[in-house]
Formats: sequence, C-alpha cells, structure tokens
Amino acid sequence: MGSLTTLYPAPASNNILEMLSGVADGRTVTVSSGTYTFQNVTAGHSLSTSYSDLPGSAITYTPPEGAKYVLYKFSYKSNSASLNYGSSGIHHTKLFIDGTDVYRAHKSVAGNYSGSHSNNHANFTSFTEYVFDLTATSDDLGQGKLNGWTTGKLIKCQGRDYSSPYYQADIHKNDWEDGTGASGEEVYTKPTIKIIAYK
Amino acid sequence: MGNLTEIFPAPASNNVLEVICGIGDGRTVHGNENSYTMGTAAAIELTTSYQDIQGSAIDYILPADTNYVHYEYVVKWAATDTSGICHWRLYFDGNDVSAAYINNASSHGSSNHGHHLVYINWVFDLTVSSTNYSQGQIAKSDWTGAKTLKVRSREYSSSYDARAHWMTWWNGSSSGYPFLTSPLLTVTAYS
Repeated sequence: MGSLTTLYPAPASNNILEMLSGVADGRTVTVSSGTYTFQNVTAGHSLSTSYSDLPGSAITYTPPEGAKYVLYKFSYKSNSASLNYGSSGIHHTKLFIDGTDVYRAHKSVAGNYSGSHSNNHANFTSFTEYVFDLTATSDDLGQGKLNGWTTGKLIKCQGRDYSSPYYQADIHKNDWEDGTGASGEEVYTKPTIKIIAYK
Repeated sequence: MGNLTEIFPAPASNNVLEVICGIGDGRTVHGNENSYTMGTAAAIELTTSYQDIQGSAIDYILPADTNYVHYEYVVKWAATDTSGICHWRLYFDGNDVSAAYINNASSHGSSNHGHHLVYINWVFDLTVSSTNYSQGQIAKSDWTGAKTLKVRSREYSSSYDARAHWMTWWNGSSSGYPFLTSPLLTVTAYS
C-alpha cells in the first residue's frame, strides 16, 4: 500500500514543476523527468563564417507531465577573437529545438568598434534565453510554440562570425587574467544551462 | 477537521527546495529555515588588487536533501578608461572556483562608454564523493553549516580602470555621477 500522500497528493505548492541546471563539465543530473548529461567543455570555441554548435548548449530534454512552459537559458562567455584582432567581435547566435531554428531567438552580439582593427578587448558574459510555450494548438517551432512536448527534444545553440578576417569571435574564452594573459583553467569559462518547467 | 494532505503533507511538489533572491541594499531575506542579509552596494572604483564585491556574499546553509546550488550574481560594470578590462572570481569558503573565472571588457577606445552587466553563475554539484574547489564540486560533508559564497574582482591595470555598481550617465546627463546600480544575487537550492 502506498503512503497517504500518494493516494491523496497535496496540491502543488507553486507552478514550478522542475528545475534543472548545470555546468558543462560532463556532469549527470537526475530530476523528476529523467537523467541528463551535460556536455563537457574543455576549451574555447572559435567561430567561423559558417554556423557551428556552441559547445555546452545542447541538451535533450523531456518536460515533466503537465508542463505548459519551459524556460531554457544558456549562459556563456563571449570574446572578441585575438586572431587578426577581432575588433568588435560581431557574431550571431541561433537557438534550435528538434532541428528547427527558433528564429524569434536570433541574436547578434558585439562590442563597440573602436575605429581600427587593432584590438580584441571586447569580451563579456552573454546568454540565450527563451521560453517555449507548450499550450499552442499546433506546433510552430520557429516561434518556440508546441502542441505538447512528451518525448526528448534536442535544444541547442549555434553561432557564427559576422565576417572574416575581422569581427571574429571566440566563445567561452578569456584572453586576460590578473593583469596579464590568461593561463591554466582561466583560459576559458565553462558555460551553464538552466531549464525550468512550469505548469 | 483538516484535509488529509494537511495532516500528511506531501513532499515538495518539485525539486526546488529554496530560492534566496535579493538586491544588494542590505535587506534581509528569509528562507525556509534561515535568514540572510544582503550586502550593501555602493558605486566603487576597482583597483589592481582583488576586493570583495558588495552584494555578492552570502553565508549559505543548505536545506536538507540539497544536491545542487545554483549561484547567480548580476553586477553592473563600467569602464573608467579605455576598455576597462576586469577580472571576476567566484569563491566558496575562501577557495577560488577557477572554472567560473570570467574576464570582461569593452572595446578599446579613448572613451569610457563601456557599461554592461556581468553575469557570474555557477552550479555547485554536491553529489560528488570528494571536493574539488576549483571545479565547484563540493562533497556534502564539506558543506556543513554556513559557507560563504562571494565574488571578488580587480582591474587589469591602472591603464584599464574599471568600476562596479556604477552608472556615469543617466537621463542625458552625467551631472551628479556616480549613480548606483544595485547588484542582484539569487541562490537556488534543488534536489
């Protein structure tokens, strides 16, 4: 016989069904909807003028039963590339779900152009954040709207440079540390993912 | 007579055990079992030595059954001159979580226009069997009682000065600056 609380479950105390977050260090996290393994980022990632997956952004997620909204946030370090002096490091990011480009989440990120292609100082924390709406009457993945979500779907981000050889960017990378060039573990910052499922 | 579910309450309906969230204005935030007082931030100049960044510190006590602690700190950064290159480190109980290190700056230039938010976040993994501070992996046996989580920062050099919690311009003017932007600290414990 189950416990009384199984037979007579209490109403949910709030509308959050589940939170899943982690650093891209290869960890495995188990929550109510399943067990998830985060990617393991061990270096910076240089963008090119073709889109490539942003390491650490991918997760195949299945929301818990009753979820109406799923927030996905991928936090990462953006860095103007030292190669050819990335200058403002203009780059573009996309969010994908199940292979479909969520165009509402398109983003372009850059520092300010300093008047010459002579430095790569522009670097800052950045993120891609989106709320998937699971209450739609039909799927419109391009807008992140779904008519339910009951099986694992791959969420990930991609990025590219604006152009070459200038305006190039690195992801996750740090060029400086404590008044000199970065070294050791500090040459890159591991990104994080946070997912919250709401009802 | 109350409902059965009041007499025999169910476990938490989700895996979020506690969220502590507050602005760095000295407020006290009450959690499920403990209260936390946020630091009080002022617009400050950074130096070439690391200093504690106000509003980032919390002496956090784990709720029972915590497996993960997500630490999130949003702080306003401003260049004083050129690009304002700045370094940010996260500490657990006095130990540097070097995997969370972040360097930030604006583009190089002759102005001090570079102003943006810096987001320092890390998910401490408490499911590990042994502690690795540099990777933010903390065995539960090493997180008993209150442990201090905080951020420290410095500028790259005196040629690239930077500021924290600082606004130079507001409503079309810089008269009366610096203006304060208070930081935001959020700590989420979940199982």
